[in-house]
Amino acid sequence: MIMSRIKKRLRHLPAYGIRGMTLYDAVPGKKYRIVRVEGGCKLNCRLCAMGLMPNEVFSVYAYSRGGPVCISVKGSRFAIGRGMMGRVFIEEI
Amino acid sequence: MPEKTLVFALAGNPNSGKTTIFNNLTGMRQHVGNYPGVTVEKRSGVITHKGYKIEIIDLPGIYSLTAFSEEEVVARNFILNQKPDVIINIIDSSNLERNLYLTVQLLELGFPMVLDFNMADVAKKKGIKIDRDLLSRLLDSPIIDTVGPRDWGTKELVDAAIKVCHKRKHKKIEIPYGEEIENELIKIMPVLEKHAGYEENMIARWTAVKLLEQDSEVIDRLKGAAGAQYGEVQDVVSKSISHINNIMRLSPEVIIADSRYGFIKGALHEAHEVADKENIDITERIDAILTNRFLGIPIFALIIWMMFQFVFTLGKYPMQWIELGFGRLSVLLDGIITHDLLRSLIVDGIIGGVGGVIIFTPNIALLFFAIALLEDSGYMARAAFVMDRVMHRIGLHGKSFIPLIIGFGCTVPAYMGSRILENKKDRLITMHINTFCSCGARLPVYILLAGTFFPSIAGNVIFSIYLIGIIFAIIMARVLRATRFRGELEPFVMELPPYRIPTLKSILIHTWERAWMYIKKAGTIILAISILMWFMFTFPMIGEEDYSEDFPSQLSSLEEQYGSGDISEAEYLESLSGIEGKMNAEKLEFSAAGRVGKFLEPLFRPLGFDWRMVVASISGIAAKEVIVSSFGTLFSLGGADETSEGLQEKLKENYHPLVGYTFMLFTLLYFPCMASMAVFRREAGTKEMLFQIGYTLALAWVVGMAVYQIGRLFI
Repeated sequence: MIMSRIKKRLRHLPAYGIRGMTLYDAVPGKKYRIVRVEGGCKLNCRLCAMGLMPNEVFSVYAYSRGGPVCISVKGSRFAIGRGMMGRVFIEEI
Repeated sequence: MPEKTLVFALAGNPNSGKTTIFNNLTGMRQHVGNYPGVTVEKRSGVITHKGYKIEIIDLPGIYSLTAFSEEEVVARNFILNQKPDVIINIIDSSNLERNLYLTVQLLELGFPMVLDFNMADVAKKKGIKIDRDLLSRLLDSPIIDTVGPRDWGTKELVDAAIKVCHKRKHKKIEIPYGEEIENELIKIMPVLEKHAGYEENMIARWTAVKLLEQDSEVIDRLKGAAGAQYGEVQDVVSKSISHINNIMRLSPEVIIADSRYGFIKGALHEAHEVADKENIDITERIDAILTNRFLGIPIFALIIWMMFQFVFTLGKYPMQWIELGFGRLSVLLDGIITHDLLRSLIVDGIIGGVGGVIIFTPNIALLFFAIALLEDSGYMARAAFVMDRVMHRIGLHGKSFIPLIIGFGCTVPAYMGSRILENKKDRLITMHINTFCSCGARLPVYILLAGTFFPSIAGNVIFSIYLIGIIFAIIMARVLRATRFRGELEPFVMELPPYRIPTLKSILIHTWERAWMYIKKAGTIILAISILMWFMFTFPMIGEEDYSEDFPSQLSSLEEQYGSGDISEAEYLESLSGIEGKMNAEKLEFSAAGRVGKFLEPLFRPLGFDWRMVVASISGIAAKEVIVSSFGTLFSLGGADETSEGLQEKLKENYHPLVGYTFMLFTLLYFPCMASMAVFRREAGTKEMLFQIGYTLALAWVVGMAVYQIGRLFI
């Protein structure tokens, strides 16, 4: 029980420097580029169709603490949930 | 006149304004059904244009032709199997790049296409200039500008589609996928074409691409057709995939998507120009407030509160008119029909039953009006975003919130709406708790009982019922997640559409559809049930010898006493209604319904229910609003008081307010209705449906018993 809680907390910590920057580390107002998405085939296909591709530039424009973020990419806006955020690797530009 | 009906299929991204175009094309001549075997809604309409009979099919809104969701599979299989004469691809022209991603995939299928550049006004405002001639040549399809909400360009769209039909030759566009992928495609295609599972309608190149994308549906279909022989194809494909992974360091599906975007960018580069206007999106400005981390939830709560106020305060007036109308009708028919039984059947059974249900049509219509308004304006997606964190706590994500909120209107569309959840576990949990979002059909029961037993605080009592429902939804979501549906949440990705002013037309069509569905239900199922109930309440008829006391002779002696002047008129009337009351009660107990209720009464005694409440609850399985009409029949049958003191007084005479409240809770908690269970079965299978029925009944009984037994200590 306790271990799983700690793990949960750890997962929410910024992963910067360990495996690279993810969506967790993105803050509103800055621009980022998607480096890669570790999602598996199905999810990759869906994200690509929505325009969330490697090399795509996006910005975060709304977020809620402990909740999802809203990003703006290719003229569309998407809400991305917590579970997803750690799988989207990004870099600041 | 042409000999055959032309079939046009509308395809497009969600939020591209596809539904508005469909409404413009077909007007009110729409038919809503289901695609065979799946639960995706199928909208179609038949129109005549310049002597052509045209069937228009509205395919579900999709981002691509992968197999990510049921909608995508349905749309793609419809195109491949039904082979529409023309595909009309609706494109949000203010967001070309993303929308054309679907277009490119449709082009690969090689069907005649018309590109509908919708929202031309928005694109113009954004300073987007499109060289239509060039783009049309590059994509080998005519381009028509439309503005959905203003109904501009609809005729031109149909004209262009008809013209495309007559064009004999279509150039098939092949997207270059780059050397590596193309090399692998060349290897896969010959193996595939020799393969036993290969069918005529599969386009070899397209299928090969799908195999590289590891499309589960295509793989399953090939496997199903060829069985063990599929291994041969699988070997080639997996070799190709690992080869690409090795040399490109990217998985094939990403490279394929990248090539498609590359093709689109290339085409747009020449034909598309965006003015460098630095204008902040109005949508983002509104979102800054509506999705604000502090204001988001209060605003959301306010909007939902306003919605309920709108539905119930505004709905009151037409309800009164309908009630008045039915009242007049019964009085009128009462005078005309002389045959006792027939009059009872029509006035008590049919008008009492159906009228009691029709009365709530305004509420249902207003609720769906409000939901359509929230959906079309784009707020619904924000609600899901805002609620995601809260929903996460109960083990669901924000998207679940949408079916749950629809559940407050009607559980049937809510179950269907659960399809937006891609993960099966998430979907099943959402469906299993959806019943606790008290649907519109249960509201009449609350209005009747709360109005009867707690007239001064009826609103608060009803609110408490809704709140208890929500609390149970939360508890059960957690319980189910911890027991039957263990596992992680599906990643949450959802588009937030731009805010738009909804068109009255589309909202009205939507509202009308739902209200009409409700009226139809009242006219068919509920009519039948009302008649059935009347028969159950009337037959077998009690004979004079079956009464426990000799009521007929009591009556005649009373008449004699009154006639000879021994008792006053007031005394006479009092004893008369006393005797008739007893007679009616025994008549009902003697009837089939009474017997069933009596048989089950001991089971429900711990909840404080008598056999009448048992009968009413059973009738509620047919549809919850029937409970009201059943109470009506239960207390008015037998023609005891043609003056009709009103159902409310009857209820007050018979039950303690605590029983009334317990009954409301019971009604809230047990599964919604027959129709919803049929949908549940279609969506989730027989096993899950039986689980739903079993656990909600058990929960309703336990909670009802607890409330009644604990409440009894205080009264």
